[in-house]
Amino acid sequence: MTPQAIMNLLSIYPEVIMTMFGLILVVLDVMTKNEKKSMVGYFGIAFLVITVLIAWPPVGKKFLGFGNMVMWDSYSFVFFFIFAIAYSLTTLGSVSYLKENGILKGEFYTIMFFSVVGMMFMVSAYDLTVFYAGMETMAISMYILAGFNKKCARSSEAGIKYFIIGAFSSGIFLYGLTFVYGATGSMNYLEIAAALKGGAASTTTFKFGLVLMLAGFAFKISAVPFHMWAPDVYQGAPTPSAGFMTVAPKAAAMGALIRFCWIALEPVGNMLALFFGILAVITMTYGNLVALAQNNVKRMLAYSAIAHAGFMLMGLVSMNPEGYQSVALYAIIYAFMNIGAFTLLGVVKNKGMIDDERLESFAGLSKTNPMYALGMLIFMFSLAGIPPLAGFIGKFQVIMATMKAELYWLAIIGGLNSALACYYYMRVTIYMYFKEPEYEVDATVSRSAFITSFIGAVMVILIGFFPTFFVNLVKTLLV
Amino acid sequence: MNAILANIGFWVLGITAVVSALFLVTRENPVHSALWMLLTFFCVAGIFVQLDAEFIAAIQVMVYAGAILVLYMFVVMLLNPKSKGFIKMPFKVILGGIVSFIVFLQIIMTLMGADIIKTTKLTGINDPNQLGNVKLFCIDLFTKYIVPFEIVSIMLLVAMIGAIVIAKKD
Repeated sequence: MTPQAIMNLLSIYPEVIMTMFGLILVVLDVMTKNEKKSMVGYFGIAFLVITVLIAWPPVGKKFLGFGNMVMWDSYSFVFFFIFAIAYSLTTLGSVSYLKENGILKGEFYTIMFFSVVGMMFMVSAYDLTVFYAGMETMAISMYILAGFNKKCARSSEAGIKYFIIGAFSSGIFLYGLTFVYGATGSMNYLEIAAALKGGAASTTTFKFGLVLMLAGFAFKISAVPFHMWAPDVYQGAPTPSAGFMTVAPKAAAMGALIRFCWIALEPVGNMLALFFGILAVITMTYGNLVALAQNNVKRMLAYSAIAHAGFMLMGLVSMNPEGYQSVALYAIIYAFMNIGAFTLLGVVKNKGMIDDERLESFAGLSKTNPMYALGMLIFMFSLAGIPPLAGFIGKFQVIMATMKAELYWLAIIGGLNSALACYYYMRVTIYMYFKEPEYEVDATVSRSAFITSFIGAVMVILIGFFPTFFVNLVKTLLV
Repeated sequence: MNAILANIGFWVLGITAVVSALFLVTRENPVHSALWMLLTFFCVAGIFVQLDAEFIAAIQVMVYAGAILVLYMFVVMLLNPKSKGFIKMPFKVILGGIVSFIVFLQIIMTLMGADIIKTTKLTGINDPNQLGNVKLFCIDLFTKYIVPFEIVSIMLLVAMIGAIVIAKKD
């Protein structure tokens, strides 16, 4: 084999292995009995562990192959690791929920697995065609996961809504891409950067195309004002898919956006910083303000997901290595706490006449189910960013990166926003600990939900108490 | 003379495409809309022919006019939607109109001063001695763009599995 051929293989081997494992999952799904479909998910976790071990990062090495199209380096690995965490936690916690709703099917896990492949391509793309193909793979999987509970009208609505808005945003993105291609003559990140240095950056064609492309990105990370789909989709989707959808696609879009800005748009970085700064401020503030008014905890978490996306965007504004290191760390922490929170949310069953996820269902849970209340308390405190827990470390790192870039106004707004967010997370805890139960609520944590929330809570506490280890780990990987 | 003819052809096709697109969004009967859409597709295919992209033109007619439009017609016939006229939300209609008008103006302004780089990648498509349109397209597709091509195959697999899951009776 020529060195070039070896390089090509090295640049893509984790994705190839993942695809092969995904195909094995499809076959396994056919071979397992109906009541044992969760095996497919567990095999998926095993496959992910194997791939993580095989693809362990070549720190400092960069495999760029297929005519500078795909890149496998430690950056791609870190984001792959986030998707692997999201997949594993969701799978472990989903079994009992899916069984109760009669939708325990192997396809749930297969599709989620293939979405991870799409997300890996998104992050490791060095060419807009690869990025777009990966993004569509992820997006189609997400439409299916959102509408997976087809007997439930809300879930179908979520699927269709997501599909239409997603197709629409893809159209906008592609339209922008044609303009950028017209202005720079290439879809390769490196060649775009070269063309921008050569003067294409000041053309109207490029600017207009870039705005449309960034709007497409903003749709995917549900940044305000491109967020309208997010609350309905997250609320309507089956709770495990909602947990996965708030974490993994967002991290993928974020990772791809950072790489795109860092490599291709490097010559126009200053112009972008202001754009992302304004976007981050609007997104955070809007997400938090609307979440304040929600009485449905699932919808509240959906709006809080928008606010968290805004917080992650803040890391992008600083345009320094600390910025994207903090975004990756934030995404890892967010995966643990948000999927944990969604898993616990999925086990609440209100026997009264109101929705399971209403705030009133949580009243007095500390007396009837103290363990459940304690778990929820940890996740809510962490999401709010209360100091000894992981959420605080994530927010702290992002704000530090912003301070380092001397964007004090942004850091202050970020700090104010996390104070604002405390209110609605605390409200859940207050309902659980200081209110008398109003309805008969069954919040028995099933074994699968227990495992996920236990891992999530332990990790949230571990990262919170030993932040240096994790921060340094991310920093060495993302030099 | 040739250039003038090509110009006339472009204007005729372009104006027909825009006008039929306008009819497409304003008709109340969905079947009429679909037929206007067919005309739009054909006009766009004609423009592609003028740009020496016969392959894209053929694909445009086959996939859009042939497959997708038939799919639309099936859905329209199956659902038989009763038109309720325009949505009764004057505020949103006005707001949407203003926003789309601004975007439209921006597109026009961008295209007026467009400085599109002339890529040399598809030279030789006019030269009969060179490779044909389809061949050139496919050589790029299966060498340079092989990775995205393979990712699309994964995407189609996912879409197929998903369609079965959603549509299958339990």
